[in-house]
Amino acid sequence: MTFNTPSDLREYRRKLQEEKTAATIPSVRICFGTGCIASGSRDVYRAFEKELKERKLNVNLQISLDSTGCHGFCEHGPLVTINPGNIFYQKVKPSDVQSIIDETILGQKTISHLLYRDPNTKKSTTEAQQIPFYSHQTRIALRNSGELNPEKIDDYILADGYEALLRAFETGPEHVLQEIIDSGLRGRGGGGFSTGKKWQSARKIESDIRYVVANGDEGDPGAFMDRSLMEGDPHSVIEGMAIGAYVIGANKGFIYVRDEYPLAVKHLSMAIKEARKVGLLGNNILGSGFSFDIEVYRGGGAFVCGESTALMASIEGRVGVPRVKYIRSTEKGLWEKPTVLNNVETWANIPPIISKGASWFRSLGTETSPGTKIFSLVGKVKNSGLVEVPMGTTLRTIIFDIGGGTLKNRPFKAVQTGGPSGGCIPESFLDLPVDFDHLADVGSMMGSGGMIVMDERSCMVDVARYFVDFLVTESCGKCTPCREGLMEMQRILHKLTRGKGEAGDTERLRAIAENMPETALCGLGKTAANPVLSTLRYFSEEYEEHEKEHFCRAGVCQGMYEPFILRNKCIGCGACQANCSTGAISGNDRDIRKIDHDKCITCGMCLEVCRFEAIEPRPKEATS
Amino acid sequence: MISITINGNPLNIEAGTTILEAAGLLGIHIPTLCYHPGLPADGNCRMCSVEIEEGKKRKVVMACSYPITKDGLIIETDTPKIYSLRKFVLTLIAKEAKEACNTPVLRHLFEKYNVSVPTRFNTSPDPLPHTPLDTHLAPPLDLSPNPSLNTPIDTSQNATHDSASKCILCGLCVRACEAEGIGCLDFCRRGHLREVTSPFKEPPTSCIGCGACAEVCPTGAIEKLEKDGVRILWGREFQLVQCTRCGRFFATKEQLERAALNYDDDNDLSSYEEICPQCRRKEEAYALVFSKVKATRG
Repeated sequence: MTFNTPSDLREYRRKLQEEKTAATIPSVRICFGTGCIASGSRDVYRAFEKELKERKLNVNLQISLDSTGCHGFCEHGPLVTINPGNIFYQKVKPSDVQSIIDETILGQKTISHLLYRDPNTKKSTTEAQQIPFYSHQTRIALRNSGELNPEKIDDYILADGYEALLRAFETGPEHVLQEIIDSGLRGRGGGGFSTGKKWQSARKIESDIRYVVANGDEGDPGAFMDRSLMEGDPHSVIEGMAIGAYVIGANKGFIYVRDEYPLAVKHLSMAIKEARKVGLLGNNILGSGFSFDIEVYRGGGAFVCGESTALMASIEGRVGVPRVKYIRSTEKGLWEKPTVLNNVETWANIPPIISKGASWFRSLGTETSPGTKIFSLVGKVKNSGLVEVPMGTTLRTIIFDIGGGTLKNRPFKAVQTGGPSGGCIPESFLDLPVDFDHLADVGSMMGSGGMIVMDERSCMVDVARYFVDFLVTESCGKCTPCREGLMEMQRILHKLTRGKGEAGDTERLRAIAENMPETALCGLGKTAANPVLSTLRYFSEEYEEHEKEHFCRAGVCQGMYEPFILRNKCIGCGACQANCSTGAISGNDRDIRKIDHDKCITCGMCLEVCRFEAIEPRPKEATS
Repeated sequence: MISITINGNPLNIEAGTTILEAAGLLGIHIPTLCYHPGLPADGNCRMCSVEIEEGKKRKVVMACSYPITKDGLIIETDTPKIYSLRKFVLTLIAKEAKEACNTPVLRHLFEKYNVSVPTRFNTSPDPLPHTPLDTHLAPPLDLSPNPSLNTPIDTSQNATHDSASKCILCGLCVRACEAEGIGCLDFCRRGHLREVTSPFKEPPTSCIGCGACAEVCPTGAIEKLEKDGVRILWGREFQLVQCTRCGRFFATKEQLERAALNYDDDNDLSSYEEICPQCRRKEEAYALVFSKVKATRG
């Protein structure tokens, strides 16, 4: 099957739709996102496969079994959706498979222990949309993720796939460009530069060759937005790139994916191959006269290669090191040719904008940041996972309504946004609408959308140390401030978190952090001081305690506190005693426990396991 | 032509000129460590920062690589902010390349920007735990303004640690080697472990021993030894060729072989003599003068 004209594609889609409506066969869809695979969805899939085969249900009842991309609700995986009824099961184990087939598929009954149960209202819900995690979301980039099988182009075509590309061919590049400019779409990779303007400037430059590039080198610790998109809906990235290439006049595209995402590489490669086979990539696509092809390029694991100029150097076959950027990539990018580089999430946003129009897109989000944004919500939050919300949604909604609040309901302390280049936002800004400008105002940034929730038990100096450690190993070392400045910050932060802080350390740290953004060469170096600057800005008292009193109030930095048992809160459950690795905690049965501070190595395990907040970190002098 | 202002001085230049070149036309000095007029700018050392005014916004850019394209651009090269940024960069370089601190170019800059050079391994009375991470860490930086300008710079003390190096990673050698068309040098590893090296850290087989790398190095970090008609560079020995006129050793065999590649095929190399640049100049000058004398007499 090859589509030579637009009507070929539409005819094929119509046929698929007919087939689908004609058959009311039950279907089982299992999430094959990385999170669910990690929690065992492959085993569940195999169990289903085996069971259906043994009972010959796949033949007799034609029950279809399919894998899908990430649903986002990773905390509760493996996730299984069953039709008819759109029943949403979570935390499914291979042992549940038999009862699902017997009771739900054959018996039309739901199994209560597999349904999602709201921890606050104690109510069970059968459909995904009723779960607060999903009901607050608006899914545009993730519209297909979790709905269709990323390995099948038919699924994507059925979901109106490649219709936006057809529309682009019908209306012409100028109109599409205008639509993207009007939509106000801003780059989802972190910078927030207007996508339309970027395309426009690349289109204006005189050149025989132009390129489009998708940046899938997502390296922020705790971020997996791009990963899930590439794994779960590769065709929307491809379609977005094809539209972009059509607008700027490029015939060649590259998708740069880090090699640590094998499934993303596999699905993208499969999708490109299939698209080529049916004529949605290649020469003279659908008879439009426009030719375009995409190559997947695997990154070798350098974080700095997510920076646009380093990424291009890497594609060109050189060492992935940034260059001076006073001349933009839209003028001289890949091989000195005009290049449009966008994040994969930006590309995935293009098809819906073209299909539904700029005004629809503008109706979502805020005035300056229209549309939605995917965040990977991780850290000390109940519902870790992938969420897509309209811009301007408050942090409170994201963390407490969608995320379900902090783990163990401990007091919320801060949320780290934007990955290693972002900053920590304290509790006082919980009602901050999340968009590019508001996050920048409070000293953080959108970044690619990582969101790490921290509670009382997170030491902010240690958080800064963690990110600086990460950046020290990831700095390319080209320019002096980033190479040596980071090393110097690391040295001071290590001193502070080991109880070796000296007077003036915090000020020295501040001096380095303030000078780095102005002097460093690339985006990585310019923002590398953000974790330090933002924690210094909002949590300076913790730095002071670390420097002067050698005390860590969160009980994270080893040897910088003493655990203290609060007599009025301890119920004598003995959890701390059972988990203490050095036997420093003593006491019988229901007695209030005692801690021998000479034996204690301040590993923090007792603080972690106590469910009654009965153990508190205190300065060393206070307890002795 | 567009008109700009540098430190209050008006100037007309071609669009695309860098700030460094433009400042040079006015005789305004901007310090650089990784810039060479004959090589492409790379923006590695971050010493040449200047402030520019674009509309109402002021921002810091690097003079060596910023191309001036806008008419009416206002550039300031010596503001207090620029002073402190350059000082910051120098302090980091002082920490990084201990042994380079006594080289004239850095010594001069340290004095001008009032940077005191930390001595290694002798400040902290209580050494940090000996984790691998700490072994290469240096004592704290002093970023506060230091009134005593004339403190002597002494790095001889305790400066024998193997990681202490003269290299400030400016990358001039790498670019020079590439410009020569050889490209046998490059950076390897990343972050603070970055270093300049030949392939696999072995004596480079494609090296022609021209010594351009050592020539452009601002801190003398690349050793070039010459003795008894042999040049040692990057761990490799090169046979030097003697000038047939004066007998001076002037180039390596590989260098001349490579130069010969540039001649056309129909050039007769059999009568080609190996003459050093000085003797060649002398000879050509002589020929020129002689032919003129001949012409006037004739």
